[in-house]
Amino acid sequence: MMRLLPFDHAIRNLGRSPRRLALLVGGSALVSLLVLGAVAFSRGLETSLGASGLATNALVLAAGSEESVERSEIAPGVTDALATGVDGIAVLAGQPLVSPEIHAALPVSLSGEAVGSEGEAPEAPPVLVRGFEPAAFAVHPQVRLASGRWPRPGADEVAAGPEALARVGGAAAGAREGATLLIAGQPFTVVGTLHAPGTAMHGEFWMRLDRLAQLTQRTTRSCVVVALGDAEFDDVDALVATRLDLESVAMTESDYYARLAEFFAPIRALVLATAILVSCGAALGGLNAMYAAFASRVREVGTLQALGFGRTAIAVSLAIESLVACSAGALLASLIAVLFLDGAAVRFSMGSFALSVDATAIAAGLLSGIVLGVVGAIAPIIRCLSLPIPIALRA
Amino acid sequence: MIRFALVALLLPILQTTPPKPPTDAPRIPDSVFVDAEPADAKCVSVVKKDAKKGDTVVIQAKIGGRAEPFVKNRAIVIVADRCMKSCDQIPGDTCAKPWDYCCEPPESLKANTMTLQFTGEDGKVLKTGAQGVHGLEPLALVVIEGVVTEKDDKGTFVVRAKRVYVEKPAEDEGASPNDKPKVDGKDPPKDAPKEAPKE
Repeated sequence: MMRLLPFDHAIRNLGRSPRRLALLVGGSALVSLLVLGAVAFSRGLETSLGASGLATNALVLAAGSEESVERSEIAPGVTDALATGVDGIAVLAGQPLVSPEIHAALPVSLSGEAVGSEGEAPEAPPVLVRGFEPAAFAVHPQVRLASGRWPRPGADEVAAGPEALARVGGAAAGAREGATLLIAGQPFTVVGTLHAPGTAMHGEFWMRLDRLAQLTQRTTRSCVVVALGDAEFDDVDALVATRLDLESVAMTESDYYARLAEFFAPIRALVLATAILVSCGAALGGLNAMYAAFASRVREVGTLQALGFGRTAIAVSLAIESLVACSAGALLASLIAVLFLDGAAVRFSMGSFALSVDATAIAAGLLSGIVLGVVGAIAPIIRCLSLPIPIALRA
Repeated sequence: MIRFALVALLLPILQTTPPKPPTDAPRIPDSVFVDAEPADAKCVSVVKKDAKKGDTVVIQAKIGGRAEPFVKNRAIVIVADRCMKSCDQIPGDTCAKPWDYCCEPPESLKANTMTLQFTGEDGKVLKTGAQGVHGLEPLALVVIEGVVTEKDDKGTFVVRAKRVYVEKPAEDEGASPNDKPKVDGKDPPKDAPKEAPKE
């Protein structure tokens, strides 16, 4: 039976050079953090889009605009056609839960922001503004009012998602209810704060449908969201397929967001690929440190061989050293991610989502640390053990 | 012992065999599909213009008109006028769903498409999908004999199918059945209607 070196031999060796150990742990932590961050990005985007749409809601939008609700334009009459033409739709207080909505990306800025040196208006980022009617509260149960009140019909009022406010700089300026925003150049008062964590709605402004229609000078709607209740999605699809005059298509809300997630798949892949590439650079740095650490111990390895320890036993001991150091780095990265990355907002042109440091992300981070520990030790171990014992002893 | 092991191995396989659909599940009757093309077929746009609710009509059409021309669990199909060019008939077009007629203006699409329904004895639309039944697939050429059940001046036109003839795909690989759209069994005239018919 092969005689292995004691486990604590490997552990004690790690402490011989604290600087080298710190380099190894730090390098591993960096690699793990990058991989973990990329997976958290991907999971966050996926989770946010998944939570934004319900399978129990049907989304009716313009034929040909299936990919983007912002581009969709349907006639206002579609709402009534759905409310009266589909049996079994969910009902609340005698009203069918059919929510006509306008989704528009509009430039939003805080009122009173400093103008540029030549007097030009500050650059306002486009933020998704949703026009709603009361049925929206029931068809989107993920959205709640955290504070304040809902905007009134026809009034220059909005309810703001916390991420939407942060996007226009409102969070930094401490803007909450009562603040004035310039939406498409017109002043609106924030009268409420939306609460829809983990969904796309967390990064939106909501105003009444009639006011947004007036603001955007449109008579059409972007979509109609139907709470299916006892009806089946096929009933809605059948109505839309029969009423060709509606010029609409139907899909479940969850399907729409799943398609949107597919649309973002290349971006997610790109983020992951970038993280892996950067990780490779960091990993090479770690490998170099490990190589130097093991190379300086050639004589020690030769001595161990002379004492009768087999090459496999020595290789296992060196691999344990590397694995323990890299795993410690991966654990450190996981801790940092949980404390500082989880829930951090990522804002992009049309909204925002939160990074999700879930079990999958942590597993990916830990796995990358373990892989780095095992793979990274192979080359230095071969280098150490390839020398004949007499030469190693004279090294 | 070996027998026991065999049973133990086969049991999970047998259990994972998908259950057969119930025999009383609604299905489109085979008798609806005929081998002979109903005579005197007309274009969708012509029938939409001339027919009244309750009329029996014979229409030649092509399955398509939106990205998903079949309703998944209802026997409802969108069909389009053969005079309209589907994307596969446009040289150089690489549309992934050529049956959606995405190059057609919405008004033309509304004027040249209609809804085909398969109903049960109770007159209600069958709760089963029509895709794949007797060759009903996107871009398939069909001749339909049926009764107009809904019509309005906004574009709605629904026909309840009585007989459906599905044209067999052309044998010659070089000649797709969609290459030469026919009107009333003949090659379409150069001024064949394509836009919305003027009232």
